[in-house]
Amino acid sequence: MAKAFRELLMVKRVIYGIAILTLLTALSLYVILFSPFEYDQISYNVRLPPLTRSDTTWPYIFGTDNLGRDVFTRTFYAFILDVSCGLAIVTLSGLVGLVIGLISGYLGGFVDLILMRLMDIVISIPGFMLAIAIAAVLGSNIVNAILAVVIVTIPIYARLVRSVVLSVKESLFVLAAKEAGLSDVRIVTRHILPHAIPIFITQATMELSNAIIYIAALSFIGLGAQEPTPEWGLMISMARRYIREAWWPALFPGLVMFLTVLSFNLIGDGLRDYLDPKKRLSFRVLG
Amino acid sequence: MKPLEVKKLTVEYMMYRGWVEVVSNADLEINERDEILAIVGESGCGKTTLGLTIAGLLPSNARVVHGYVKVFGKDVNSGSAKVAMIFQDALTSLNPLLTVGDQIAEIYIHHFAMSKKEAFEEAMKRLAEVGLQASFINKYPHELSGGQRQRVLIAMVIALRPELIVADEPTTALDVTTQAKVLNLLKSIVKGKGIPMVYITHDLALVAHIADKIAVMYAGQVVEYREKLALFKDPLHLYTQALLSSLPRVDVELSELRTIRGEPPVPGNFPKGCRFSPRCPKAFSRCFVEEPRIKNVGNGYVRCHLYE
Amino acid sequence: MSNGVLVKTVGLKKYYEVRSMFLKRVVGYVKAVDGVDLEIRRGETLGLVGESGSGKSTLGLVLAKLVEPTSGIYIFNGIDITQRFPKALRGKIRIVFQDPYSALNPRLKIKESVVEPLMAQGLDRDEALEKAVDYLKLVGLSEEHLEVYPHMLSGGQRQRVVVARALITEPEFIILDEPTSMLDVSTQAQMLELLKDVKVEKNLTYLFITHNLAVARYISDTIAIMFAGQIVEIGTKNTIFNNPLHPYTKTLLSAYPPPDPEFQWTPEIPEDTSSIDSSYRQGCRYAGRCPLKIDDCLKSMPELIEVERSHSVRCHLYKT
Repeated sequence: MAKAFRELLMVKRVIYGIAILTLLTALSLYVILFSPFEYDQISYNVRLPPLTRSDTTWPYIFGTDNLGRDVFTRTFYAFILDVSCGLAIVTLSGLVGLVIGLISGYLGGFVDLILMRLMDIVISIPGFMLAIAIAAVLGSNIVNAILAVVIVTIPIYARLVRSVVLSVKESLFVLAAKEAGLSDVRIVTRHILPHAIPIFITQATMELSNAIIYIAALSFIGLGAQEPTPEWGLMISMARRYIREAWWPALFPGLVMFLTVLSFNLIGDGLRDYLDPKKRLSFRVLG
Repeated sequence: MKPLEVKKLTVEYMMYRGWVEVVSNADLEINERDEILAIVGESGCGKTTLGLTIAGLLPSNARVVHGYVKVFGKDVNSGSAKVAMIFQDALTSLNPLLTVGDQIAEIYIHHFAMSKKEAFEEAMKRLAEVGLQASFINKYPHELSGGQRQRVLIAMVIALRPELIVADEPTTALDVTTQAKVLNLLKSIVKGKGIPMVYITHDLALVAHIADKIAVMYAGQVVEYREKLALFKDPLHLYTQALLSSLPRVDVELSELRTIRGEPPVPGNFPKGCRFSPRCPKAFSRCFVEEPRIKNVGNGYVRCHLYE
Repeated sequence: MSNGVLVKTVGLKKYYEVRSMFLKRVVGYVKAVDGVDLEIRRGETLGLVGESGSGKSTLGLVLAKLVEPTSGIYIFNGIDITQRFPKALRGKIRIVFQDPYSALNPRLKIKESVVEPLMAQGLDRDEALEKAVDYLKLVGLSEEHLEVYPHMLSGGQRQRVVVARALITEPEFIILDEPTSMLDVSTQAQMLELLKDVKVEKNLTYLFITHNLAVARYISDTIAIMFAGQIVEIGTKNTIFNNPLHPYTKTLLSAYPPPDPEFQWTPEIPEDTSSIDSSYRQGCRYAGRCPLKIDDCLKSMPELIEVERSHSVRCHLYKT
């Protein structure tokens, strides 16, 4: 396992991704601990350009927004929020999808039929429509936005895991495990699940970027985070109105979001490459 | 012009730890047009690689380090030698979307610039030669049994009008009854059409009936190269002897099989000195240190310190 | 059970349904195992010989209780286990598969694979590991092999692990489905010797399934020849090889080249003129290929009849 991890780190993309991510996380923690500004601290210093002096130890590094709040501070609070939301989404939908995929793939038959048709229905629901529906019934807030995204992304994991289960199910070592007398549950956890995990993690990493974008998008159209929550989509949405007078409250959240998503993509992409062609470039050339 | 001349051939493969020698200094030849040379060995001995090299089909992650392979005087890599290869798995060698007739005729259309009509006429002749009825011309590979597919492959190989055929375990995946039929077919092609063949197999019993000359390979080297009768009457190399006495027999009641301790070494991990020394019952001090050179015996040779 | 019969089957059948594409109606059956009566005595090795499609592997799976038979009775040590397979007996019947490369989970260490059958029985893990060491040593491996992964072992070593895994529940009956077919000749010899030694040491009974008559001759006490789901000839090793009766047996024997270049090898393999679909034929299954068929052969299915002591054959050419 450790050896595998070390080999993974040899993929350049992964290193770049982790580097950017570490930098951003470090910055965020630093901001939360040491920034002289609160994320919701309104002031009269509205729309000041980046690097304007303030009357605290820090300048307004990214400038201020329409309500005089420090964009730098808010951008990095948003990092924590958005990434946490992304993680929550991926964890929840991933786990539910994993379980559905395992059950559906292993049991087959009627159970598989029903579950997969259900997944088909869910995946054909446009995420935004669902979010609007949920918002209409339960209100617009970030928790409901997360709920909508979770529901809509479950099928991705379910299908992926199910396909792995189907292929592993027919392996001789699974038949051997049955022959050894293992219960179905034991077989799934011991033999089938470990084969599904690597692909699952790769997909989850890629989905993490999508989840962040989803939340930001929902917040952008007003269905997710509400003021004064520091959230990238919301910040950009608010900044749009006065973008002619101040470009910085829209640009910087977008830039940091871009870098965050990029880093997760790099890691996920590297993971995927690590898992696949490595097996092909194997040493089984001889006959 | 000798049909086949392999001289001091050494082939390496690129593995994750670098270039690894897989065939070492192989010397082989076929002298007559209707001769079958069998290459016998277990997995990892390099016989498939040797076969691929002779057919000019080495993949890009392999290279010939030194030595050469010449078919009728022409180097196999020059492109002018016509060597055809029969692989073990007939199912994946055939295009599942084309009929048998299409696949055989294709050869005539592309290689020999025949018209479709002529190509199909020739294809019918080939089918007859391999013992398949004319109705097979419209069948798809999945409609055929393993033995039938192998025959189609053989028909395609004949259609190519090769100067030499390399057959890599062509009957291993077949039932024993089918195997016998396909073997007879191959033999009749060699003797009847005068196309020399290199027959690669792990089955020593089979070799006794199909080969004229036999090369025994172990750990990348040809350890014994003899005429068939000589080899079976008087096997020289300890590995050949061990192989022969570890075969269960249909015709003889055996009370025990003589086993060789240990396992064949893997390329990259070949022992120092004689590669068979760790397992050889008669190994002595020199064997562990120095690689034995070829010692000519009759029309062949053996690679063993006991005979130097 | 009387006179030491450990395994007995009566009329064992396994039919697979063939369904049409559209409405999934049953249009026919693949009769993989079609009426097999067997008796294997304690301590005996029955060599089951057949080519691909003969049903030998399916029969092995049925006897290993991995596949439910369509009909028939399976008696083990006097107990009918056709419907109910008591937990106490589960470790007593084990199977060794053909492919050592796929039989072990590549992500599990050897020790995990070997103790697995004991874990299923609820044995304490430390005890199980101790047993694992004992059995690895029994098959010629060492304690160090516990900690490695399958890909670090050769095919022969992996197959030894599979054997250890089968032995660890202290079975009485082991089904070996072509255990040496994927091994090199020299490795095969080692494995056959190992199986012989282990059988004596652990008082085992074997069903050895193979397509290789030479291997069957070497390891078996009795030999059964299987064709199209049925046993067509069964007898002791001597009777079968000294006096083969069924035309198929004779064909098989002639198809094996002995490693002797001076032996005039002339295999008599008749052409197969039958269609593959056997579910509609009423006569002998082999009639399509048999060079010696008579009228009766197309009309009725011959029974398995004892022709001489310990030698039965299913063929109309032989009537008592």
